Amino acid sequence: MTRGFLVLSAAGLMAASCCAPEARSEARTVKVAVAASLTEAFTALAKEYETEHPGVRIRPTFAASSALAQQVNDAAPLDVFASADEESMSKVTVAGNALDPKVFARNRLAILVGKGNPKAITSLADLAGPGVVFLLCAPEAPCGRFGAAALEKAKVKARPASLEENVKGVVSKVALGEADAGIVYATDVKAAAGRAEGVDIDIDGDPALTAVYPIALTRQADDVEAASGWVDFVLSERGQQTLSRFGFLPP
Amino acid sequence: MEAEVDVRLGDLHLSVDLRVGNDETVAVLGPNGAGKTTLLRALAGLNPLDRGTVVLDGETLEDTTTGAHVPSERRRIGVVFQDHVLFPHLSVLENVAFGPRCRGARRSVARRQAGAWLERVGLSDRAGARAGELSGGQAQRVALARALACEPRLLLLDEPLAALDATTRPAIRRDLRRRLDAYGGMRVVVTHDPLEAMALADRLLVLEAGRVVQSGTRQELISRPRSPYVADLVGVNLFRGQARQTRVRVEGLDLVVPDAGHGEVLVVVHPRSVALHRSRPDGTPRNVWRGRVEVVDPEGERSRVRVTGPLTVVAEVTAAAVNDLELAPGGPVWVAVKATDVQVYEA
Amino acid sequence: MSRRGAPLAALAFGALGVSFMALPLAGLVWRTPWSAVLDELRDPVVTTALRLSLVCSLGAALVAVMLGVPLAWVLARVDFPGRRLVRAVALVPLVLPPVVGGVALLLAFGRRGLVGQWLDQWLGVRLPYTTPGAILAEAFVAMPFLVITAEAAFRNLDRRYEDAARTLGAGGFTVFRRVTLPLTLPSLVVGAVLAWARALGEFGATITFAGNTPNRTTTIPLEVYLQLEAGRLDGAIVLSLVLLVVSVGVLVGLRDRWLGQQ
Repeated sequence: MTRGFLVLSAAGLMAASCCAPEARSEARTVKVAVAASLTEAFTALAKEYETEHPGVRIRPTFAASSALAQQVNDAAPLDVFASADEESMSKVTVAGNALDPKVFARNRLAILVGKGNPKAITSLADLAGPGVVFLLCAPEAPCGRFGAAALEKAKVKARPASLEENVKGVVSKVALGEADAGIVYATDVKAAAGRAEGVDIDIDGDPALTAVYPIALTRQADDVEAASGWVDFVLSERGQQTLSRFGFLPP
Repeated sequence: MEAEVDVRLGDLHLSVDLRVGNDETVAVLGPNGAGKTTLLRALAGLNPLDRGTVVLDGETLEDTTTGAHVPSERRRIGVVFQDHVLFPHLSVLENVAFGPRCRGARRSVARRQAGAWLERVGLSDRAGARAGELSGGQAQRVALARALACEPRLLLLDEPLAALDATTRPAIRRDLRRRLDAYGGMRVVVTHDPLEAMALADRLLVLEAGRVVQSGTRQELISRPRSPYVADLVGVNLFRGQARQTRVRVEGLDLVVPDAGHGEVLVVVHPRSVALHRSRPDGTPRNVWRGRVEVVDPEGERSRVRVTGPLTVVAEVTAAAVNDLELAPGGPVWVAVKATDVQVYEA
Repeated sequence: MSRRGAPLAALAFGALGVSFMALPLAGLVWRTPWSAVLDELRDPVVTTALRLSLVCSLGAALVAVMLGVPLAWVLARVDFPGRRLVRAVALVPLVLPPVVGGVALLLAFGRRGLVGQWLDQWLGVRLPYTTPGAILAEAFVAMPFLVITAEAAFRNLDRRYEDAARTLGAGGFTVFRRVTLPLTLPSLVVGAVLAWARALGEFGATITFAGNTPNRTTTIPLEVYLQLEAGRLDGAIVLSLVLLVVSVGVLVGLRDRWLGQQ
């Protein structure tokens, strides 16, 4: 019984190792770690790229930039890292796990409010109003750091009801009505159209309050050709057009 | 107490009329699964009746025609459960005080009453013990004291001696009989042991498959068993046959009997009246047939010998006779029964 | 061979099982930055999270006992149509991903939820982003552990103890208080401890329903996750170790007193 089991597992291992290269030769796969705020934009980009390059498949993983940086540093099988802040990217580059990051987009902060803006929120100062429940990202996530900085700059003392673990959590809860407002990116407002509304924050132009999105190949990337083809596409005219359609600003 | 109990529970259909007079003990005797415990539980209000009434001292406790139902806790009926079911988390004293407490007595009063009851059953020195630390006989007395501390009008005992080992059982049985007589209320004892039933009760009620097959005094049961189960219980040979004048056709044999009769009859032959011989006995008109020894059960000075043949009977002979006749399983033997030793009564 | 082989095989697989459970813990201890432990423990973020974790898990265990014991009793003792369905519903959190549980709680007890909107309108009670909300989320996930243990305890109890109490004059509640409860107490304590342990480690339902609000809902599991997200591996490990020491300590302590009797 035990021996039979060993033989079986050995056969399984051999089968797995023999067939792996074959599988890759069929379709080249680029595994991309993508910041949560890029979810909709990168899904669209991947589809466009795959239509133009039938031999290549883009496999995105969406999560908070900080979590992804951790995964890349832990040698997860990820070929490209698209971060929502330079800090997460620098954790990876400092550790030598990614090379030559390039900024491909920028993003503004915005206030997301419920449909019809029931609490009549027009500025950051309104978040401190009586009975207003508002959410911020956790300080570990870039949207949390930018949001806190924006509140400080606007001299708003109000405390958020919760520090959500990533920006999409803020969006969901505002859309559900569990919060009156949340500080998110302009792109999230666009993505949530129909479920929630956006209010612009009048701190445009301040580079300290603008999210910067860098992209880079990781050291793990084994099909460098396919991976850099994808990075070049994101930086190209076509890629930029798609990104701006989702509300991103050019680099 | 007068009760008409009709309960369906799984395969069992229990249908029993039961009357118990003041200061009387009735034993309900029957094999496992006959419905004895179900009957007790129905009387105590723990199993609802499908049909029937329970009336105690003129008070209707249950009547399915009117829907009346007094819950167990308000019936003045005490129960001594099989295996005693003492509360393991309470001391002996607290077990006995449980009833008085539930019936509204203050803690100190209840404990004093419980102490008095323990003294009456001779267990004052075990008041602080846990139920698990008692011997079987002690636990039985505590269970009795616990039930009696509520001063019930009717006391129900379910196999009160079953949990005891054989050596202590006779003494405890005598002791229980004394205590039951001292308690003046009505008593119902459920048991599968005929000896226990006859030792404890004035009147017996035999239950088989939910029905009363016979009721009466000890004497009535012994002399005129009405079912093989009862005959087996009292240790006699019982047959059912067709009478024609002074002959009764039983299985493959015509028995000669003392009195003329007709139709379906029950025939009782006491094992002591069955004689065994090595060769065919001669003499007066007798019932004689050839059989084969099936089993020999020594019981003290005497042995019970089961003989198969046209009619299977049990004979009771002395140990000496077993030797003289060289009785051994499988051996041939002649069976003889005097006509005057055959009792016949209507079925 | 087979006679002596069976216990040996059992021992071998048992050892394998223990290693499987113990090795990850050993990994945690191995990577612990011992020199930094004291500093981390003095960090108010850590002490607050620890205090919140204890408050919320004990509160959740209490809620589970108050609601779960009567429910378990009904499931064990009352024969009603749909009992199997009710039992299945009560045990659903065992298989439901906790995050889904959190979303479901939002839809029921959130500000716009099925019940939550009335709580908000009539009583001014809002559960999300509050400590009671965190307790509720943890209780939701932990209660099945109590219900399953308590129901088995009630079922296994010889009903004749309760019958005996009734014939001695005890009404329904007295029977429960003086007989059923004391006789099933060891199992109920085990169930409560299991529920407490589950609540202590609860993450998904809590962060989804109660959010991540420092001082109010940021329990240790949330803090561990956030520290990992931020790349502060040392902090996360020390926090995990604190949780591990507290829970193993309680489980070992209780085992001798309660589980050991089983």
